[in-house]
Order: sequence, then C-alpha cells, then structure tokens
Amino acid sequence: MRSKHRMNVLIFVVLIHFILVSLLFTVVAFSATEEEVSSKQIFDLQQIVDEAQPGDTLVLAEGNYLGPVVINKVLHIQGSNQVLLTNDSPEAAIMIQAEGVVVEGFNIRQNYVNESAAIVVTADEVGLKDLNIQTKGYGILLRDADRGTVLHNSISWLRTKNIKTGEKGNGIDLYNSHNNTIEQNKIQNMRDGIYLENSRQLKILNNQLMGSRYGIHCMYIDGSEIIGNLGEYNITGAMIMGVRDVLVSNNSFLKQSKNVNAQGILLYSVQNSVIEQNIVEGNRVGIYIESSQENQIRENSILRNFIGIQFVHAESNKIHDNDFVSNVIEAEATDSDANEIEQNYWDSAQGLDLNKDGISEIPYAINPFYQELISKTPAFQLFFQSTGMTFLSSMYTNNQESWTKDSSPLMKMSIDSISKPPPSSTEKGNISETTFMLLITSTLLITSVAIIFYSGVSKS
Amino acid sequence: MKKWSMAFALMLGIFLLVGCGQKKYTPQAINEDVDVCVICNMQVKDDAFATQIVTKDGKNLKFDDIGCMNEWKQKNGVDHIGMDYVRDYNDKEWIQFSKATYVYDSSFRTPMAYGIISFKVKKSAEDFVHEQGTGQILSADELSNHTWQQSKDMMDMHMEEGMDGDMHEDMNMDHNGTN
Amino acid sequence: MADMLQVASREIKMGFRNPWAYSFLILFSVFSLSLLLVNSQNEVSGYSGVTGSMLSLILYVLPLMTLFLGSFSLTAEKEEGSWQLLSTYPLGTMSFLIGKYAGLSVVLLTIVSFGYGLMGLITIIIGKTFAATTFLLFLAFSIGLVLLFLSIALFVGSLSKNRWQALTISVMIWFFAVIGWSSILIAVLGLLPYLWIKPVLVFFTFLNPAELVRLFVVIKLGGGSVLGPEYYKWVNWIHQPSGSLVFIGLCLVWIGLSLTIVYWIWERGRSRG
Repeated sequence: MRSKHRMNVLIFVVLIHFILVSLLFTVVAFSATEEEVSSKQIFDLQQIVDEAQPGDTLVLAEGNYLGPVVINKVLHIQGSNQVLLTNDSPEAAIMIQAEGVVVEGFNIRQNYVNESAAIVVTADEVGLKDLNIQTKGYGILLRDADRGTVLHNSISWLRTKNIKTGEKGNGIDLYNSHNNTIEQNKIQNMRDGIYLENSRQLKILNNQLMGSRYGIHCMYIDGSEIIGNLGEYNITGAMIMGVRDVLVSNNSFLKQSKNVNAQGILLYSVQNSVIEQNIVEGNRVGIYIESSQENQIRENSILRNFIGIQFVHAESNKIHDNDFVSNVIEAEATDSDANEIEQNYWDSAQGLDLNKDGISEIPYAINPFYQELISKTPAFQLFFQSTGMTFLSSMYTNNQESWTKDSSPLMKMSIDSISKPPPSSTEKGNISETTFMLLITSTLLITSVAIIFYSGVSKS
Repeated sequence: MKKWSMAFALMLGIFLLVGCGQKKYTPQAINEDVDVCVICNMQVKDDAFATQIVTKDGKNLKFDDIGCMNEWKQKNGVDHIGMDYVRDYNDKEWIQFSKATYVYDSSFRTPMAYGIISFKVKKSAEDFVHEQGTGQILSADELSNHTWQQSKDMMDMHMEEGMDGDMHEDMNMDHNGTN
Repeated sequence: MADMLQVASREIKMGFRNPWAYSFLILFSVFSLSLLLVNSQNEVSGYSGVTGSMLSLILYVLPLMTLFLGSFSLTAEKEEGSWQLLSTYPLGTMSFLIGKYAGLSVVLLTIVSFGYGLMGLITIIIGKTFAATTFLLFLAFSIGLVLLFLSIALFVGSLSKNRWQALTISVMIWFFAVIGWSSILIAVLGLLPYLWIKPVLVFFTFLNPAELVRLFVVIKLGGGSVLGPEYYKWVNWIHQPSGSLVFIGLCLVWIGLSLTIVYWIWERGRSRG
C-alpha cells in the first residue's frame, strides 16, 4: 500500500514538473515572437497598396503595419506570421471593396473598442485565408459580398473575458452575401461564432466554435450546408432560425450545458431541412425543435444530455434512426403530435421484440406531464427528475393517444454511438485518475471492514 | 406542536404581506444571462428592441423584438395581459405599448427583422424618420392593422442598392442594435 | 465528553451486533453493484442519465435504511429498559443523544463506505470509467443523506413507544419526503397566487433533506442549468467552491436544530417519567 502510494506521488511530481517546464517553454517562445515582431519597423500598408498595380501580388515583409487599409483594386496580399497589422481607428483594419482580392497569412489586431470589425468585405469573390485575427469588436464582416471564401482563419476576443456576450462582436458575420464558403476557421469567445443573415447557398464546413454565445447562428439563410463543424462550451451550438432547405450534418455539438437556455442544436421555424449524423453530447438540451415542419432528423447520436430532444409546436417532421443514450430525460414534447417518429433507439425504453426483427412492438411514448407543468409554472423546474416527480409523471396518463411517441423503437443502437469517441478538443489522461480511484475505493473498503471487525466481530 | 403552527401562520402572514405589496405590473430589467425570447428563444439583448408583457398573475414575459410580442398576442390572446411594454429607441426607457409611437420600414434591422422601432414621443419618431430619410410613423392602434412582414425576402432589393461606397458603413451602424 | 464517547462506542458495538445492520450492508452492496450493471456500457461522469438514475435509486434506499436503523436504536432503549437504567446515572440527555447520533453515524457510514468501496473497486477491475470527482460527489451525497435523515430518525425514535410505531412513522416520513413530496407541493402550491409559488417552494425545499441534498448534488454535477432561469443565481452561487462550505454549514444547522428538538422531547420525557 505504502510503496504504491509513494510511487503515485513520484509519478505525480514528475508529471507536474513536465507540465510546468513545457508551460514555461511555450510562454518564453511566445513572448519571444511577440518581441521580434514589435521590434521591427512600422510600415504604412495603405501606401503599399496604393502603389501596387491591379493584379499584383504583394508579399509583405516581416514587421508591423498600421491600418486602416482600403483595398479597391484586385490584389493578392500575402503575409507571414511575422507580419502584424494593428488598427486603432474605428474603421475596419482592412476594407475590401474590389472583386477578387485575396488576403492571406498574417496577424491582425483590431484594437478599437466598440462596433468595429477587423475586416469588412463589400465585394464579390474575395478570399480570406490563414489570418490570425484578434479583435475588440467584430471579426470578419461580409456585406453584399458573394462567392467569397473564408478559409482557415482564427478569430478570438481580445478584451477581458468577463464582458457580457452581448457586448462582443460576432466572429464571422454575413449579411446579404450569397454563395460563400466558410471553412476550417477557429473562433473563440465571441458573441456569435458565425452569424449568417439573409444569405443563400452558403457552405459552412469544418469550423471550430468555442465559448461563444451561439456557435453558428443562422437567420433566414435558405439552401445552405452546415457540415462537420465542432462546437463546445457555447450557450447554443447551432441556432438555426427561419430557414428552408438547409443541410446540417456530421457536426459535433458538445458540452453546451452551463447556461439555463443552452442547447446543442436549436431549430426554430425551420422547414424542409435535413439534420443528420450529428453528435450532440453533454448539452442541457440536445436538439430543440420549435415551430418547424417537414424536416428530417436522422442518424444523430444524442448522448448524455440533460434532455435529449425537445419538441414544441413542431409538426410533420420525420425523426428516425437516432440513438438516444444516457440522457437524463430522453425527450419532451408539447403540442407536437403529428410527427413521424420511428425506429430510434431509446436506451431507457422498455422494449419488447416478439418477432425478432430488431424493432420493439411496444411504442415509446413521451410523457408530457413535466413540460406542461413547468411551462405553466417555471418555478417547478426545481423538481427536475426528483424521485417524487418521476412517480407523479408515471401516474399521469391523460390523453395518452395524443402523446408524441416512437411507434417502433429499435432494440439496438443503429449507429455504434458509444464506441465512437466524440472529437473533443480537450483530452485528459485516464491513468492517474484510475490510480486515484483505486486509492479512494480501497481505503473506503479497508476502513469499513476494519471498523466492522474491530467493533462488531471481535468480542472486546 | 402549537409553537410550530404559530410559526407557520407567521410565515404565511409574511408571504401574504409580501404578496399583496406588489399589485402593479412593473417591467423587469433585462438580464442577458438568462432572458430568452418567449417566442423565438433568442437571447433578449438589453437594447431598445426588447419588449415585455407582465401577465395578470405577475409573470414577466420578455421578447427580443416587438414582432415576437405580437405573435405571442396572436397565439394567447390579450386577456391575461396586465400591461405590455416597449422601449424608447433613444434612452431605452420602458413605455406602455399603447402610449408609444412606432416607425416601420423594411430596411430597419431589428433582431427578428420585423423592422419596427418604438419611441416615447412622436417628435423623436419624426426626427428619426427625417434622419433616415425613410420610415412610416404608426400609432399603437395603427400597428394592429400592420402586416408584420419580416424583411427576410427583401434581400434582392438590398443587393441592387447596396453596392455603392458608403453603404456598408450604414449597415454596420444598423447592425449595432441587431441580435 | 467521556460519557458521550462511551455511549457512542457502546452504540457502535451494538450496531454491529445487530443483524439489521448486516442485512442493510448486504442490501446496499448488492444495490450499488446493480447500479453498475444497469449502466454497464456508459461512462459515469457529470450529470447524465446514468448519474441521474443512480441519484434516484440512492434516494429510495438510503433514507429508509437510516430511518429504520436510527429509530429502532432509540426505541430499543425504551423497550429493553436500558434508558430507564441509564437515566438513573448522572448522564446528561445531551451527551446521551449526541453519543447515540455519533455512534449510529459511524455504523451507517461504515455500511455506505463498504458499499461504495466495493462498487468502486469492481468498477476499476472491469475497466469502466467512473470519474473520481463524480464518485466522491456521490459518496458525499450519501453521507449527507445519512447524516440528515439520522437526525430525523432520532426524532422518530423519541416519539414512538415501540418498534412497530417507529416503523410506521419512518415509512410515512420516507414516503412523504421522497415520493409524495412533489405531488403534495404541486397540489398545495397550485392554490397560491403565481408570485408566491417560488418563495414558498424554496422555503419548503429547505425543510426536506432529500430534496436539499439531491439539488446540491445535481448542481455540483454540473446540471444546475436544468433548473431553469428562476434559480440561476442560486445555482451559480452553490457551484462555487464556497457553496460547498455553506452547504455543509446548512446541514450542520439542520442537524443541530433537529437534535435540539429531540433533546427537548427527551428532557420532557425524563422529567415526567
């Protein structure tokens, strides 16, 4: 016992050492690059742009540049990570007003506090790539800008973190801008990671959205695709509102559980859209659907949420082949009886498969009692999953025909949701945790046995 | 046992007093951490577009856009409403829905794109219209005949006029209030 | 102080010679192992379906076990006449009660830690993931339940004349606190005006240890947001580390108050009897 303990302590100390040293190293490395950049000469980027001919490719020399810059002719501006463009004015650091401009590969710091943006694009076919943007306002704004590409940028919040999300700007913000592709961007701690309004035919692919208000926020964007994005620790992962013909697939929305209004995916007033093969794990509500019709929700893995899926006034949707595993409450539904829900896997359902076809003959009905109760009196949310509440719900069988139900629940998971680990950005070692557990549990067991023997069995 | 029932009666009495003290339908301040629109579920920003209904039993319902409040009234009727409030565009003061003056234009950007802005006094509404060069002034009564069109289908129009130089600046400015 | 310790050590010895203690030990161990088996495929951490159902099951078993063992121990003193004997000695009622409470706590917590130790060990052996923080939180949850319900158990024991009476009252209290609670409150609070419901509900929640401890653990597991906007300030506040201290303080106040009531009942009985 003792030697094991000593061993643990040793491993622990070594680990701590390792972490500290590596931390120190990165800090030193980071500050070194900062210093290098700041010690260089300051260039006037506007002048360089003005002197260039349309169609030129400008390769920026290492060093510091000052904004704001207006680009009103076709240029290809290339930087490196030793290039820093700072802007202290209320204008955007870069304003792109000419078609076909490409800006790529450097750092931008938008220092002006308030409603300002690092980059404002008002022209078509613009490319923004590999930019590292820190901002005290917005990140990238696209206004009336079509067929652009926003690829592989990183956007993060520069001011204090304790500021209210409402006072921050959005990471990437589109208005009336169609056929754009937003791919592989990493956006942190903004208001909305990607905000899309009144735009069509967008492709939002493989972005990472962390710690913002809404990861992806769609208002009135028809015919768009949202594929392969990862959202973590936002208030809501994907807020999809007022859209038609949208495809949301292969996204992961994890750990949106802090806020009292958090969801993985929220659909409001959504028509004719497909939500498929997403992973929603550890959220307050996995998928929330309100006032939405004619959608297909299929093959999603809905794991370990407080509430798996929630329907409010949602009708004529098809929900099939989803896996619901280890949610505190699998589903809640009010005024949503005309949906086609079938062949989902519900791990808490008491299935009975008589003809061995893998489908239960007993439908899985969603008891609306709790949701009806709290919508009348929100104060009763204190009873969420209390023992008495479960008891009371089970007594409630009013109007059972009109409950939302899965007519043919699956007996087994359709996708192997559990073995497929979610692509979380944070990883943790399990080994030390196991030894720690071993220590606790063996201590507990040994102490209790010792007490029993000492005072009970031995006749002292 | 007697002491307990005494204590209980006392507690009830206190609750009674506290309960009876507030019979007025006062608007609650917006708390961005928890308030979401009752209709569209979006966070209610503490801005001039927020609206609020206090029901007769004292429940505060908050909305991010006057259009959402209208939708709630369509769905639930007006019988349970104790008082309904909108905010002044300039100083964000809560004003009664029926006493406010409204300005509508499809180009105004509001959280749910209903394009309606409210003012405490008619004069400032007129000033606003003058400043913007567009907008239709409406009273609360006239608002009941309003179509409540969301401007999501107006985007083609925007596209044509939006290309000239300083337009984006306006857009940016308008954006301040949105979402 | 010495009296108290003596009563406590006597209680521990009696406790472990009592067949009831062992039947509960077996029951609790079997039960915690079955908890494991029920959700054998899932990782146990945070607030999820697995931890949620574990919470409910523990809420069913532990309060009942505590109420039985605690109240029986007191009625036994009356039935077997040992209290009559003890009260002839210069033994303070308070030292007697606190000694009883401490002794019974040791017995019950031993049962609980045996169950948890066994469960945890088997979890590790079969290679399942059980987050250490979650495990510790469950242990704390159970300890909290036991300590709070034990003070109620002493209350029941001092009111009842014999085991049967204690049994009946215990089951009644258990049913009221664990199963009937929300039904009764929803029915009663439904009669009140809307604005009163929340404050009255909060007030009553403080009176029910089962709810109090359950809510604390749900919040600490990170599930506080599910309680909705009405309670978010409380949730944020309890979620901080200082929240735990305040909660422990609250539990101590709770136990202190109910022990005072029990003391008062015994003193009255002593002066009359």
